[in-house]
Amino acid sequence: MPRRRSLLRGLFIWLARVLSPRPHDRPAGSGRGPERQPGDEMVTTPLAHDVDDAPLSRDLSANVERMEKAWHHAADLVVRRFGISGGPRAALVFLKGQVDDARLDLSVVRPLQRVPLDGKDKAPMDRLVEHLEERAVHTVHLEVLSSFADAVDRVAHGYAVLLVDGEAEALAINVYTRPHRAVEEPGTEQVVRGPREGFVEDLDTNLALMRARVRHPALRFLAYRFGRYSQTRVRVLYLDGRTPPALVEEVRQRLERIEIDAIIESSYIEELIEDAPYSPFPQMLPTERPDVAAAALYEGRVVILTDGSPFALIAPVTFWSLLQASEDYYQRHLLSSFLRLLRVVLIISSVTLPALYIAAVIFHHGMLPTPLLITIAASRERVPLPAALEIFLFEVAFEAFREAGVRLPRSVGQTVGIVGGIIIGQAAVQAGLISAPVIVVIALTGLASFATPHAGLAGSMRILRFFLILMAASFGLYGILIGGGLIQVHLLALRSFGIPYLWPLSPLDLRSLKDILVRWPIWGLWSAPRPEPETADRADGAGAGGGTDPGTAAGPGSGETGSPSGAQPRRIGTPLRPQPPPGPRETRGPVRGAGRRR
Amino acid sequence: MAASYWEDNRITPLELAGIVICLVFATGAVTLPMFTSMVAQHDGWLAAPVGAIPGALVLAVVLYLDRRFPGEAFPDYSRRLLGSGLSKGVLILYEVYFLHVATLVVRESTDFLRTGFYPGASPLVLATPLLALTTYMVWHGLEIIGRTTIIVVPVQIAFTIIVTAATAAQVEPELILPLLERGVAPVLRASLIPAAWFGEVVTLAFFLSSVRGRRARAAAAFAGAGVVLALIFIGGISAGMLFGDQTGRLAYPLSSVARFVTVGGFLRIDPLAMAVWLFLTVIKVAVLQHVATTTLARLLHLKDDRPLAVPLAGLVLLLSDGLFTNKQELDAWLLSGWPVYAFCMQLLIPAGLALVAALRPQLGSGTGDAP
Amino acid sequence: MRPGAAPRARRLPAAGLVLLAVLAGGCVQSAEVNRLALIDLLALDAAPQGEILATAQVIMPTRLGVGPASTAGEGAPFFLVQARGRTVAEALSNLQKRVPRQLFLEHLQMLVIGDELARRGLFPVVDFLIREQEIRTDLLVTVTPDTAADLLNIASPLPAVPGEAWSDLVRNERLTVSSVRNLFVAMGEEGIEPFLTAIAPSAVQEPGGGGNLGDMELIGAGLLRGDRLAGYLDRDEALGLQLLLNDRPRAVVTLDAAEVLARMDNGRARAEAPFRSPGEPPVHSQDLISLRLRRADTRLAPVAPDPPTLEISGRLILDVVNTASVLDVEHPEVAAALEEAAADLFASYVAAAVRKMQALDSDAAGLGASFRRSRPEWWRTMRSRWPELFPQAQLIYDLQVAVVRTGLATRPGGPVEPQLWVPRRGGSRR
Repeated sequence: MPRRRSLLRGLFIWLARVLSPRPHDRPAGSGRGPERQPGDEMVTTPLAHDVDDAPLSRDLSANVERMEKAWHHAADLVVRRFGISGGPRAALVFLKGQVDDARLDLSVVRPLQRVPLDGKDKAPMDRLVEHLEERAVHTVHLEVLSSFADAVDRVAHGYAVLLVDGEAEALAINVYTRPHRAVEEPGTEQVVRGPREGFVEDLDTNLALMRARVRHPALRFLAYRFGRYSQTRVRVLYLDGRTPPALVEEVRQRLERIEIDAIIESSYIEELIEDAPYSPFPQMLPTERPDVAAAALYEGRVVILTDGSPFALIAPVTFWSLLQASEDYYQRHLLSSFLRLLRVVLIISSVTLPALYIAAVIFHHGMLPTPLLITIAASRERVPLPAALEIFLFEVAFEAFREAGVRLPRSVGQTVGIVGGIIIGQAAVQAGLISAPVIVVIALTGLASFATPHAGLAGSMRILRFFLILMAASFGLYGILIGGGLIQVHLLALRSFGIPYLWPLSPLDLRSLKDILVRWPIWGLWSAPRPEPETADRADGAGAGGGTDPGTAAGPGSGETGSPSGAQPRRIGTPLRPQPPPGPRETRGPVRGAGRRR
Repeated sequence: MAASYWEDNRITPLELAGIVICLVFATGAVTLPMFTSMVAQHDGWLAAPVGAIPGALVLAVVLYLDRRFPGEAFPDYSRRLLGSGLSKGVLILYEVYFLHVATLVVRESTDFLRTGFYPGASPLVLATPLLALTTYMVWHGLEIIGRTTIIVVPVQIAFTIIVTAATAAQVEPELILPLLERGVAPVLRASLIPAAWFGEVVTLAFFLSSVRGRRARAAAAFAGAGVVLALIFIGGISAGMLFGDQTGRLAYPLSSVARFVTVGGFLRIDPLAMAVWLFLTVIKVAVLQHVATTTLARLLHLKDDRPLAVPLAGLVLLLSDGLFTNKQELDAWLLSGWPVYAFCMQLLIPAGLALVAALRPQLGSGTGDAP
Repeated sequence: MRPGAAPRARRLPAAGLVLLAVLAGGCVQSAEVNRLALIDLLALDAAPQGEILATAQVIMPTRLGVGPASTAGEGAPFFLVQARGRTVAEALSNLQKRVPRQLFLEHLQMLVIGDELARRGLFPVVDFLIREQEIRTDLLVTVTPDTAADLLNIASPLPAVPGEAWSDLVRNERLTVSSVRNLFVAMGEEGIEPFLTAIAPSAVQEPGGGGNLGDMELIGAGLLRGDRLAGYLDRDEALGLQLLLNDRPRAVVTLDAAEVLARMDNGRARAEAPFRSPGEPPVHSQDLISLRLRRADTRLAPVAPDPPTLEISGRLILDVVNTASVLDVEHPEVAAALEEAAADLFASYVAAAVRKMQALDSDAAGLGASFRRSRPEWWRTMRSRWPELFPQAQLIYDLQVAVVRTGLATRPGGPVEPQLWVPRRGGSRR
C-alpha cells in the first residue's frame, strides 16, 4: 500500500511539475538594491553602480579630469572653468542641451562670480549654497554632494555640477531643461467637445498639466527612475483618500522590482508590471489626454507618467473602461449611452463577424434566409477558394492595408487605403477571386474594430478574430462557442491590479453597472449621502482591499469639505471608483511582469 | 501567495443559482421532454414539477448538512460522521459518480451535435474542444466557473423565452389535453427522470461551503432550482403544445421546437440556440470536473488539485466515447438504470448522512445546530 | 497571481499541436455553399412496383443572384431531376447520383405529394420528414390531385425563388395550411386525422396561350384516413374545416343581397325602410355584398355522446369590402341582417365540410379528439365505436358574426340604377 501510494504521489509530482508554473527565482542581479535619490526618487538601477564610487577629492583638476574620464569626453559634456570672485577656482560641469543656458548664466554663474567668500566661520560650500539661495531668485534646486558617482548622476540629469577647488564636495544645481514640443491636441483620442490639451514627452510639463486639473494637496506622487542606461524618470500619481492604499502598495511593489536597461516608452512599464503578460488584452489604459488621467485619479485609480512618453498609464482598468471615450462624459448622456451600447455590439461583432459568416456559409446553411443564401451562392459560383480561406486571406490583406496605411505619411496612407479598399477589392470581385459578400463582411468588421475607442483593445480583437476564424472553419458555430468560451473564461479570470477584468458585469455589481453599459447622468452617478459613522468605519477597511464602501459619495457640494487626514476619505469629483470585488479578495501577489527583469 | 489565492476561491449566491440552473438544465433541456413524453405522452410536461419535489428534497438535505457543519464540505463532514475508512469509500463512490455524470453529459452533447449539426464528425473530435474549455475553467477554479454563469445563464433564459415566444402563434394548447389521460401513474413514472436531473444538486454538497452568505446561499440554491423548473416547464409545455402525443417520438423535442421557429420571419436561430444551450453543458461539465478533481485530490491527500483536471478530462473524453456503443444504449440506460443509480447517490447517501448527523448531535460544531 | 497563467511558453507547442489535430479533424464536415444543390421544391409521386418517384427542383443561383458568374434572366432559374427508389431516402439517394453537387434540403420550401402516392399511404414519407435533420418541421406539405412532378415545371413569373413564391402563396392565403408538424401530430393523435393543403395547376389559361397566368392555385384540402388520402374538400369546405379547427381562416365571402333583405322582412322591417330616402330604388334581388373575414375564433365543444353532438361556437369579425348593391350597409338593421346571413353562410360551409368528412370517413376536424380532450369520461366508452359514431355526428351552430367596419366608404356609391352595373349573379365565395 505505501508503495502504491508513493507511485501515485510520484505521478502527481510529475504532473504538477509539467503543468504548473514554477515560481520565478529572483535573478541574482547586481547584488545592490534600489537606492533613494533626491526628490525621494526610487532608483532600481542606479547610475552610481556603473561608475567608481570613490568620494570626491579636494583637488579640482583631479575631479574634473575624473569627470571627463567618466564621461569619456562626451561631445555634449561641457566643463566651464571660472574663478569665484576672490576665491578659489571652480568648474561647472553639465551636459549641453540638458540645461537651460540662460538660467544657468543668470542664476548660477553670475551670482557665483560675486560671492563674498571671506569668513572662516563657515565652510565655503555652505556659504556658496547660502549665497546662491539668496541671490538666485529662481527656484533652482540645490544639492550638496560628496560622492563622485552622485555627481556623475546629477550631470546626467541636467544638473550643473559645481566643483570647487579645495572642496571635497560638489554643488548640484538643477537647471534642467530639454527640447520638447508644445502642448497640442493629442493625435489619438480626439474629441469634438472637450479639452484639446494633450500630454507631451516632457515629464514636468505633464505633471503641470495634471496639477492644473487636481489642485488639491491630496494629489500624491511616487517618484521612480528606471533603466540602467536611460535613467527614465517615472511618476506615479494617485489621490489620497480615493485610491485604495492597497492598490498604491501593489503598484509600488511591482514597480520596485523593475530592473531593465532602458525605458523608452511607457509601454515598457506596462509590460513589466501587468498581471498577465501572455494575455492579448491590455491591462492598463494608455492615454494622451490629461483630462482622462485626471478623471482616473478621481475614480480612485493610479496614473503613471513616464518621461519621454506622451502616454500616461492608468491602472487598473476593466474591459469596459477600454470601451469608453472621454467624450462620453462631455456630451448628452443619452447619446453616450447609445454609443456605449453600440460599442459593445461593435466590439463583439469585430471579433465574431467573419467567423459567423464562415459558420453560416460552410456549416449552418439553414441559418440564412433562402434569398440571402442564393445570393451568396451565386457570388461564390466561380470563386476558387474555400470560403474560410477566402475570409482568412482577405482578412490578412485587410490587415496589410491597415499596416501599410498606418506607417506611411498621412497623405500617402490615405491613397493606400483607397487603393486597397476600392480598387483591389473591386478588382478581386470582378476577377472572381473573392466573392462580394466577403468584402462586405471584412469591411464591416474593419469598421467595427475602428469604432473601438482604444487601439489596444482593438488590437487584441484583431488577433482573436483570426483565432475564431480558425475555430469557425473547423467546427462552425460550435467552434465559435468553444473559442468564444475560451476568450470569455480568460477575460473572467483576468485581473488588472486585483480588479476582475469584466467587473462589474461578473462579478455582478448592479450599482456600478449604470456607468458601464450606459452612461448615467452625472447627477445620478452621485449616490445619496450616507450616515457618517458607517462610511468612517468602512474607510479603514477599504485599504485592505476588502469591501470598500460602495460608492458612498457625499453630495456634489461636499467636495470641498473634510480633511485629508480624517477617517472620512476625501471625495472629489465623481465617485466612479472601481471597487475591489466584494469579500476578501486580495490584490494580486507577486508581479509576473517584474520577473523579466534583466 | 498562490495557495492563499486558491483557497479564497469563493462564489456569490447569485453565481450559485447560476450553477444550479446549469447543473439541472444543461442536459435536461434537450432530452427531458422526450423521456417524459415517452412515458407519459402529452402529460410529460407535468412530470417536471413532480420531479422537482425529490430534487427539492435533495437540496434540503444538502442544505441541512451545510447548516449543520458550517464551513465544511461534504468530504469533511462525511469523515466526521462516518469515520475515515467509510468516508473514503463514500468519496470514491462519489468520485466515480461525478465522472460518470460528466461522461454522460459529454456523451449526450456530442450525440446531439452529431445528430443535428455535424453528422460526420468524430465524437472524440467534438468532445475534445469541449473538455479543453472545461479544463481551462477548472484550472481557473470555482470562482471563474461561477462567474461564467452570470453571463451565460441570462442569455440562455433569453433564448428559451425567444424560442417559446416565437412558437406562440402556432401552438395548439389543446394538444396537451386531456390532463392525466392515462391516470397519475405514467406521470409519476415519468417524473423519475426529471427527479434524477434535479437531483444533480447533490453536487452542491461539495462546494456549498465556498459560497458567500450562509442564509443567502440556501435561498439562492432554491431560487436557482425554481428558475430551472420554470425553464423546463416552459420548454416542456411548448414542446407539448406543438407536438402533443408525438413529443416522445422526437429525439430532441426542444431542438425540434427551435427548428420550427423563425425569428422576425426570416432568421433561423436553431444553431444559435444549440450553441447557447451547449455552453450550459460546458459549465455543468466544468462543475462536475471541478468537484471530481477536488475530491480526488482529497482522496490522494494532495494540496493542489489542478494538475488532476487534465487526466480526469482525458478519462471523461475516452469514457464518453467508449462507455456506450450507440445512442440507443445510452437512452435505454438513462430510462432504466440511471434513475435508480441516481437515487442512491443523490438522495440515499446524503439523507443517510443527515440522519446520522441528526442522531448524533454532539458531532455538530455547536453553532450550526439548527433544526 | 494566478499560477495557472504562468509560463505557457513550454506548454504552447504541445497545446498547439493538439489544437491543430482537432481542428483538422473538424474540417471534414464543412460544405461550401456553392457546392450545394439547393432544392426548393420536392415532388413525390407513386411509381410502378410500389416505388417512389422523387422530383426535385434544384435552384441555379447564378440565374437568380448577382456576381461575376451571374446569368440572370437566361431561362428558368432551376432545373429538375428525377429518380426512383423504394423509400424516400432511397429515391433521394438515387437523385443524388444524378446531381454533381450535394443535395441540400434545409431550404426546401414545399413538398408536393402526388394523388396516387398519397392514396398509397404517407406514413413512410412523414417518418422521413421528421427523422431527416435537414428537413424543417414547419415545411409545407401539399397534395395535388394529379401528378406532383408536373407542378414543378411551372415557373413563377415573380422574380423570386420559385418555391418561395409558392410557399408564400400557401402561407399568405392561409387556406388549410399543413406542415410537417401538423401531419406528424395528427397522425399520432387519437381522434383526429391529418389533412393536406391541396394545390393544382391553374385551370385558367392565358388568352395568348402562354402558361403564366396563375401557375398554381389552392383548391382546398386533401383529407387523409389514417395515412391514406381519402378525398378532397373544395375551397368552401376547406374554410368550414378551418372554422372547425379554429385555424384562423382568412377569406372573402359574398352574400346575396336578397338573402339579407329576406332576413329583414322576417321581422317588422319593410324593404324600403333602410334606405335613406324613399326616392331611392329598391334593392335588386340578385345584388351582392362581399365581406372579408378579419378574425375568427371558434370552439368545438361536445354536447352529447350518442349520437355524438358537438356545438361549434365562435365569434367572427368581418368587414364590408364591396357592396354590389345599394343596400345601405351603414344602417344598423341592414348590418344586423348581414351578420345573420353571414353566420348562416359560414354554418353552411361548416356543415358542408362535415358532410364531406363523414362521406370520406375522415375526421380531419378532430371531432373525436374534441370529445377526448373535453370529455375523457365519454370518450372512454366512445373510443372503440368511434368509426361507427363519426358518420352520425351532429353539429349545433352558435356562430356570432360581427360586421364591424365598412371600409373607406359609407353608403354604397354608384349610379341610381344598380341593375345597370352589377356584373354577375351568384352567391358563392370569390
